[in-house]
Amino acid sequence: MGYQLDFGKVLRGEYLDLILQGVQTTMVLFVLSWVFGLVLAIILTVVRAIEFRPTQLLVAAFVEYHRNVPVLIQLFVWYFGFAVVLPDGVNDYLNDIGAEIGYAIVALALNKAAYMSEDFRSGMRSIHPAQMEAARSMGLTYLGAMRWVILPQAWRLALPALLGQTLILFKGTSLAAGIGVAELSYQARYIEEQSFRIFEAYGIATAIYMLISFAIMWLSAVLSDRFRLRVK
Amino acid sequence: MIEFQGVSKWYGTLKVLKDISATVDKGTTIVLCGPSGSGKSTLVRTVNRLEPIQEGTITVAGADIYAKSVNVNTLRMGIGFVFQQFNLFPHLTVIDNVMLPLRRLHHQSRKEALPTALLMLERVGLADKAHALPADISGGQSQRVAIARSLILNPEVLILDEPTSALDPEMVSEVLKLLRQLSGEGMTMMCVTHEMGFAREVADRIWFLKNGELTFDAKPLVFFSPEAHPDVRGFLSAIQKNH
Repeated sequence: MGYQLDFGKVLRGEYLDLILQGVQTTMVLFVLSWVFGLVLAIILTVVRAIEFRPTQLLVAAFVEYHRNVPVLIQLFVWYFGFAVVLPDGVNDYLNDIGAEIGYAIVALALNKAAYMSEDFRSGMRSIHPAQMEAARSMGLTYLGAMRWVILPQAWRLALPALLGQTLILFKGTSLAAGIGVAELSYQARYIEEQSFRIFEAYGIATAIYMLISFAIMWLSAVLSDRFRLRVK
Repeated sequence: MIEFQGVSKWYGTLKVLKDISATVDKGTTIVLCGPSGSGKSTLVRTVNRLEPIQEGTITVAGADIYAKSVNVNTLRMGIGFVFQQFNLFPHLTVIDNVMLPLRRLHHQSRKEALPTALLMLERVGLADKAHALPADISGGQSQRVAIARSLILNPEVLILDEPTSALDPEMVSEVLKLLRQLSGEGMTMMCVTHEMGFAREVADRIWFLKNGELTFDAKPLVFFSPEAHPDVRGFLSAIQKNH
């Protein structure tokens, strides 16, 4: 078949730089989406826990949209859809500072927030209602009881699921290539097109994704064990 | 200290507390007993507004607990509450459970709260378990920690809702011993319990509830005498058959 494998060609010079830039962009996407997603998830969880129907329905609608529409479409909605409703001046400014990665972080963070808030919610459901009652009976406010008693248990109970979401998010960053974010998958594709080293380019991207995924899985196992909530 | 005046409560159409009027004097121990479903748990839970009432008034230390000027959280800080199932917080160690009210309600630092909490743990005889997790101590020890936690803000009243009902028999005495000690120190207590030996020995008054009514309120000497209300005598003899 005449195709000679040559990893060296892809692993030096300009191509190596592109791969390293790609890894860096992937990590920026991953970390920022994770942080924003987690913060929003906590807010969604608390809002949904408050017995007020309209806001509960709003959170439910948010969750269902993000769980039932493909992530790629969510990215398109932000990058192509949202941009057209903004004034030109704003779009020009956003494009100058890097609209693609900004929209990608927003889309991935919102998506992850929906899933993580559901994980928190199922964590909270497995906490006995008497815990809230005990917290309130000592004089804590509702939010105080949430902050000091319910959420610290909820996140421990939700931790294994949250870590699973973390791994899914890490792999999901590759979808941002679909709106032109120059992360690792995008760079692999670019290198493949430029060098015709198709197997090598994707092979190296695969190896890097696996390496980081395994690191996340290992960390997940350690954390899940360390923070396991033991209830009698 | 606590005064119930014409207190009634409904769950939907079911009337679970019927026109209850009674007084708990400062420094006394009240034991509440009666068949299950008689409303005794509901009654003690009205004192810190865990259960709202629809009629009547309840005053604690002279203040109507439903007055607009009364903040429910401040009210609760002055009333210790102990549950049947302990309800320790499983993510916190024993000492952190006891310290939580000091830290989150009195806004003390860990360092400030620690000596007070340790002293309280010593008082319930569990200083050596300070750094254990609730999952690693026995039921009796858990309940003593829960009592320590409920006393940490020096409440004026301690309410106990069946504090020994979830315990294995061999652990009941360690909790009762602690309650006896607290009663002797002049703590104002309301305790729902089926431990009649404890009631006879420690209670200043015993309240008997049936179908949401306070049918008999007497000193132990009268309560356990043949002059007691026929319902009480029926209840006592039913309990004795089980022992």
